[in-house]
Amino acid sequence: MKWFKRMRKWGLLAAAAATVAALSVYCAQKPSGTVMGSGAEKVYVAPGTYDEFYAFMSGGFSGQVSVYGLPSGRLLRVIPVFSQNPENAYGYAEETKPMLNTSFGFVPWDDAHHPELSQTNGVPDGRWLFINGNNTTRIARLDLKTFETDEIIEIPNAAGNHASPFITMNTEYTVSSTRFSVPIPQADVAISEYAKKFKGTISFVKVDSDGKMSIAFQILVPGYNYDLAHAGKGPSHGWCFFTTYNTEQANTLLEVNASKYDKDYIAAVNWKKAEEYVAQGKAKTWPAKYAHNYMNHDTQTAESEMLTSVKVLDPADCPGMIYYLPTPKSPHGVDVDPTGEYIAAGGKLATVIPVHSFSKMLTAIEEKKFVGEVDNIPVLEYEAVMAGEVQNPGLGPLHTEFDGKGYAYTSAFISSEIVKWKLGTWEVVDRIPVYYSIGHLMIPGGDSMKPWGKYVIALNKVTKDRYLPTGPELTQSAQLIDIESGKMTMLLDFPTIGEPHYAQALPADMIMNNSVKYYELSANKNPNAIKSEAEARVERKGNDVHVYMSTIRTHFMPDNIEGVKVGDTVYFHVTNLEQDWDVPHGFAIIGNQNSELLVMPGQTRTIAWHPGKEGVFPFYCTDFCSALHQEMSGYVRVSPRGSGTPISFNKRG
Amino acid sequence: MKAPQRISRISTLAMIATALLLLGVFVFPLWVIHLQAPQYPQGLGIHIWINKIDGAAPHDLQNINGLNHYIGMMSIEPGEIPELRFMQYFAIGLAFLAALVAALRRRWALLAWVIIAVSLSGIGLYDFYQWEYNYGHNLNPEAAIKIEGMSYQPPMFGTKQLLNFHTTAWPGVGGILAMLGVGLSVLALGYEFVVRPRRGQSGPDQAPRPVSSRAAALVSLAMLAVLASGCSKEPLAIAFGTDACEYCAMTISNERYGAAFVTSRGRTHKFDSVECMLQAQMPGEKFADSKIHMMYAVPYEFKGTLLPIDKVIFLVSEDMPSPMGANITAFSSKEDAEHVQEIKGGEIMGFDALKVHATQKVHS
Repeated sequence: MKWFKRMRKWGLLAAAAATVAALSVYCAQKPSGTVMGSGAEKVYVAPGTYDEFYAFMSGGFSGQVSVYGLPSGRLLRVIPVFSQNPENAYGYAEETKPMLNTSFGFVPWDDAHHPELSQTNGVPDGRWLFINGNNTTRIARLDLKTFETDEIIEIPNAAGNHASPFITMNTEYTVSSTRFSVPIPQADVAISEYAKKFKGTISFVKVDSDGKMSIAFQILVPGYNYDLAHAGKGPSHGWCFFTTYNTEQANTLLEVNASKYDKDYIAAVNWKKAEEYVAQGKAKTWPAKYAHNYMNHDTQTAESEMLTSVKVLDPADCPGMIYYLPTPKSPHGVDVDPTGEYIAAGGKLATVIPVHSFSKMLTAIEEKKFVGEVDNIPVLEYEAVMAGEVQNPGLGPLHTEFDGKGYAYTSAFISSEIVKWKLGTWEVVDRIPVYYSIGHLMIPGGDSMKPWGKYVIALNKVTKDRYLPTGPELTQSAQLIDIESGKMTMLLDFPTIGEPHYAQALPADMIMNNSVKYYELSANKNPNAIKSEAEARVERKGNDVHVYMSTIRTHFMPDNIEGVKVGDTVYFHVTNLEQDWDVPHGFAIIGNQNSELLVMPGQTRTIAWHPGKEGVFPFYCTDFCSALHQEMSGYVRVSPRGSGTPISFNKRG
Repeated sequence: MKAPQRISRISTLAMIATALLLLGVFVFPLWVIHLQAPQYPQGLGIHIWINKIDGAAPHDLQNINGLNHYIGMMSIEPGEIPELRFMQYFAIGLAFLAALVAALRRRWALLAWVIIAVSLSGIGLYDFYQWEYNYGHNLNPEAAIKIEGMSYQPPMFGTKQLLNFHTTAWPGVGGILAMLGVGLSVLALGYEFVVRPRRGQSGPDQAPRPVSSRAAALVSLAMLAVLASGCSKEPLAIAFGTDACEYCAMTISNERYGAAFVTSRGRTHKFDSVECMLQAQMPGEKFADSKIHMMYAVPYEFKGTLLPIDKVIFLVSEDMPSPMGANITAFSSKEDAEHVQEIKGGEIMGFDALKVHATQKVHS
């Protein structure tokens, strides 16, 4: 009887357990039955919690960089880089205007394509972000402690800085090359003389330990179009690879005339060798005019210098410095895998993805397997350098990123898909459609030696019906795809600013703890700063009136200013005396043909105003700063030209 | 006349420890006040040292002063507080004297030290309370934000809601060390004057002196009482979402309602509504016999802030249901109450009228 009872007890328990198990299976299956359910879970970042990754996306023709959180796709910030930004007076305030200076004068816009994180030992380190200006050939460096543009250097002897600013594995250099070959140095020549007189350059920009950039040397190359680049790493450290197209050297209707040849080239540059040649004095110093702008952190003011010469290396004097690797059909992207051995090219009109082997290339160079020479640059034999070809990779393969687990992901523009293939076997293992017309794609750290292979982001040029329509001009788009759990799964669409070309991402904790909360007022060396309300004053110097103004919750000092006259130039030097997190103050005055100011705590910013008519004009704080924000305002009295109204202003107390 | 008695080795060691512990005030703050508000998720902090006042983080003090100017509080200027200049010499002096007691090993010296130390501690705490009282009550009449009946005196021990700031104060490590030091000396005093005489160890040729030892014990007890009675009769803040109503036992969650009373012994009892508080004081209920020092209610306009009951006015409106259904909403100003009355209807009444209304309402 006893054992029977025990049996019954166990039996009941087992039945209960089975019921619970069945129920839980049923319940667990219900949500995962739809893709929406599981996707929502994977991208949901609850209110008040943080994203796992920072993603930095180029703003394309907006000229800026946008910062997103992943996996939520939440836009965290837009950082002004190459374009003026009236929102925070970047490029309008006297302190930041010099940042947009070039040899052409003040250029308030650019086309920003490729963000690139600084690296240490081939891994993103979270110090800086570099990005190229494609139109007026510039490279900018952003400080990731402040998320501000810290430096912009112009690249001379170049036009269209597209293959840029890809960096070497210890951030020794960031590179640049000319997308459009032009007469170098610039000259008034007939365009039909392209093949004879046009040249290209590849530039290596040295990055100091404090981030400061300087052009180390330029390499003179044949007049092709130089498209994209990536530096070698690990065994291929010391080399950098650049794609070319238009080796046909067409100067009109390139879409046809530059697509004739079966193969164009990847230029492999041995920059360590180039350094030796520079050290040996092989470089010629050419006159050049280019701007170098950088933020002086003490004065919080950008300084601009115009440089006048650059070192140029000619391959004719420098054997072994540069080789051409034949690569099918106008290659676009050139991407080096995490081991540094494989160099994948995106032959945008090719039917395969050609992958070169770095070790085979070294052997081929040693064995002199050359098929010819262009302007003293040896051309290697395709079969001697090729590691493999990925068959059936989709139409229009452009760019490849790596997951660090032996797989590569290539974007295919024409067939609008991402194709996953295996390094070594070159077989396609997975593919996923994207919406629509993908350009770059990005895996966090996916062009480094240590990818965080959790997601791939498709950066799409076309959205058509993917979002609510907004008239003829539609957003471009990013799509987040899970690559961690087997088959690629689409998780999220989110709109982007401008056109997202390339992007970079890294784990949030590599940046977030270094983020500056406010500037130390005591360290503010801006010559127009005031450190207390007691120093607030107004001074006239000829037709210039300087207002040294303070802001603190919740008033300006001074807030009544008289003695300004029509025809004066008034400089408002506004110092935010706050030393508290997230308490910026704004400053705007009616009718100013200029932007507002947004002044961070501890910072000084200056905006100019040309009062054009007499009257009394209010100014106010534009950033809702406290409960009495609406009270934060003041008046400037403007008297007629030549009036005798003396300068006066109110003081505290 | 007998020679002064020597104190035991253990008491000597205690006094050496006391001297060292007192010097801790130069390494750690005496008192710590922490302020938390929605806009300050990390909080702001004030550290009060023996010779300075600074922020828990750089600029905290400046930011607290900046915020305080809205309600008209004086700016906390450490340079203008003379105590910060001379208190340190008292601390050094006390430590020196404690060491001297250990060197002399005389009972009278120990007794004298304890009297001086406890008196100084008491005066110090009272002085601190006075400063807090001044800061909290001496408000600039030109202030941007003025609330009738509201004072901003920070607590000395525990937590208090001051408008949007949840303010918590406790002794800092330096303060705790100093208290431990004084506590040790009081224990030594007890040992020398009560325990040892009873055991007959006070000296080979000395009889116990029960009268003087009892007197000493009384003195030290009295001084301890002075120390302990530093506690004020201000209500403790309601922790919304955590505290439970002491009448209906439900969690107090609606920050626009709530009530509390403080007993004459300084205990705070908290309720989710005025009606619950009144009900709890009815004959036969839990707090029927409580000696009430002061009652408080949360005004609708200032979430979570307790105002004295005579500083608020009540609107009883069917369209403004309160947590226990008596439809009682407190306001800090008559204008606000009238404004809401225009929209929601109902009757405005003072506390006395309300008491009648509330007890009827809940009973019916």
